[in-house]
Amino acid sequence: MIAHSSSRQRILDRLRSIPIEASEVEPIDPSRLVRYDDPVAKFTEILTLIGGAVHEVEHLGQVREILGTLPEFNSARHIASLIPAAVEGNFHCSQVDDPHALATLDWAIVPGEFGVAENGAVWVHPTNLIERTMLFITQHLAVVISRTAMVTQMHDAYQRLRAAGFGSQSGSDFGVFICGPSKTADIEQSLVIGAHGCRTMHVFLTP
Amino acid sequence: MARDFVTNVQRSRWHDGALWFVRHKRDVQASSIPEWEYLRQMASKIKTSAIARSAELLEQFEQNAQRLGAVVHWASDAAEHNQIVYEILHRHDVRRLVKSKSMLTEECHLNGFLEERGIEVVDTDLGERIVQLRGEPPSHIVLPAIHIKKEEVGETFHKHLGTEEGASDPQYLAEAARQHLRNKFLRAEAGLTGVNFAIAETGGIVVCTNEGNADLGTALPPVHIASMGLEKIIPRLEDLSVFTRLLARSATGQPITTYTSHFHGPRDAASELHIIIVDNGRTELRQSETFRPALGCIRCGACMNTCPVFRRSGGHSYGATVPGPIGSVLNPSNDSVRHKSLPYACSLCGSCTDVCPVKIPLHHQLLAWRKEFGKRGLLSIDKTLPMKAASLLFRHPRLYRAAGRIARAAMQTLPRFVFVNRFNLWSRDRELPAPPEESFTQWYARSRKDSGNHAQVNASGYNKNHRN
Ligand code: SF4
Repeated sequence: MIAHSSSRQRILDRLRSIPIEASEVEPIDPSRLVRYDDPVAKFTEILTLIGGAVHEVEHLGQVREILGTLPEFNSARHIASLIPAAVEGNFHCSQVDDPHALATLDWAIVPGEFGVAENGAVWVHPTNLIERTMLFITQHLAVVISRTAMVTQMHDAYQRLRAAGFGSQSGSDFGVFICGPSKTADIEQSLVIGAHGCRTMHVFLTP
Repeated sequence: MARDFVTNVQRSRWHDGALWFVRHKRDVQASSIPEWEYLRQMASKIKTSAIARSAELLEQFEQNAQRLGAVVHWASDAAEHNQIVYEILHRHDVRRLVKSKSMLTEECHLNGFLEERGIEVVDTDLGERIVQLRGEPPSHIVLPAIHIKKEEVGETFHKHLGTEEGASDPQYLAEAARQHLRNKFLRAEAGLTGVNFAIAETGGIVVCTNEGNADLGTALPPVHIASMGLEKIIPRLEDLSVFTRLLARSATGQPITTYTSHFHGPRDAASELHIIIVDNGRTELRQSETFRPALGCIRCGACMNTCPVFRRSGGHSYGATVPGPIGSVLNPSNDSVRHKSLPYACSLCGSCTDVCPVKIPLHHQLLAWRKEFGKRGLLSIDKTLPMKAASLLFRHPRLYRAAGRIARAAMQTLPRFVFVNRFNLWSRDRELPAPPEESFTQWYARSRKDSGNHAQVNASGYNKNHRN
């Protein structure tokens, strides 16, 4: 936007008008960071505390079985699944290109990349706009990750993201840490689950 | 404002309790991480270095964001920021904008500006929507509606969203807001978000929310505008690890926010992402060596939750977008005459400095402002005259002792209105303690004589005349 370039110059000039010495920031010392004997147990503890549900399964078929015990799954009309081997789904995202078409989605079953033990968050990295919208518009969300894909804390998480090339692509990219169902405490600090995003979040840990 | 709030004793107590609850949750989370203090140190170092290198980092950020397909704008002040937003919306014929939480747009008074130009602006954070419907500004940067009771939310929603009259169940009210706002999300033609962190090295921005409103508001419409203060810049992707560990724990006592979203470029080839980098007084603040560290603020709100003055007087008392300890540091730099009373509201207890995740020496800065006002000749006579008198007394011990005797006698004999009157601002809604019978020096001399050896400082004996 050329029209505003004078402000750009003014701001940068101002920032350069007095030299401020910047000392080099040393990298994080891993020996000072918390470690857990059983990261999966920690992850489960935290996410459960926060209102999410964690299920350890031995094979993908079990995902469908467990979901089948939930009334909100059995009464669901629109289910989108990116993991057909677990749940077939009846809403075919490949056939829509407007994210508004997802407005009536009841369930989304999606793959996650990895979990973070210290805070119960899961990194989800959708590959297109429809997959991305699904995460937030659905009433209920199920994320499937391998329990071997578990990092201890956020330092390890970002190292893993760097190794995977996140942030160094040449075009658009979006990724999100999701930790439990959406929530608000804006009315008298009373916790209400299900603000704008999903009302429940289930994480399935596969071998 | 402060007066209304403080004189409503019940509300003031309730507000105090609500915030203390949040502060307590923060303590629990902070102590669950053995390296908490190490993280604070690292956060402080990263911010200090980023503030020093901001020109270089912002340019790097701009270049990378452009490479990813974003459009980067620069605004010197609030007016320019608002104009840029309007031009983008106008170009796309946008009539309906959804906003997620952004204190910067509050600071710029964006809503009113756009509404005057015929654009519907909907704040989608529940707390912000509540205050927006009530025609109020947020009273806290993280908990915008912390000053409002659920019955009042019920009335507001009854009037605007058609919920049942008298309903005050938070679950019911939040569900009504969800339905109402879903509709707004689906109909929006553009979404505006704030920015928690901007990564120079990647050109990406990170937004943290619990409700998922920033994500719905940017996934559905094709235009995303992200407004950021220039201090949001951090150098590397890895720096996020430090801040994401500190932010939610400090803010609400959660281990991390429900959504920590990383946007790199527009959502797809047919969409637009506009990032507006705003100065609005920040470069000015950066010129001052004393106040520069305040730019490191990550807007967690912990200093507000812990502040005894904030808890009892409420955010609106500060008369500024950012209230509390950090607000009292930031606001006078924009307008020192208008906001000069803020640094004096502080009791210098230092609790804000103790909890700040980026280690901003808040209470030292508040003290520094008081000195600065003295230098600028901004002190009123009710501050300068007593100071001169006190200085005189402290330099003359005999005079000091005599004054003490007279004051004790006077407070015991003279009528209350002599001390508690409309010229004594301090005594508004406060009572003076009963004066002690004797001074500390007198008591000390007597106790030494009584016990025949070293006086035991007996706090209860010494305080026997103190009501509190
Ligand atoms: S000054 Fe520190 S404690 Fe206060 S809001 Fe900013 S980061 Fe949080």
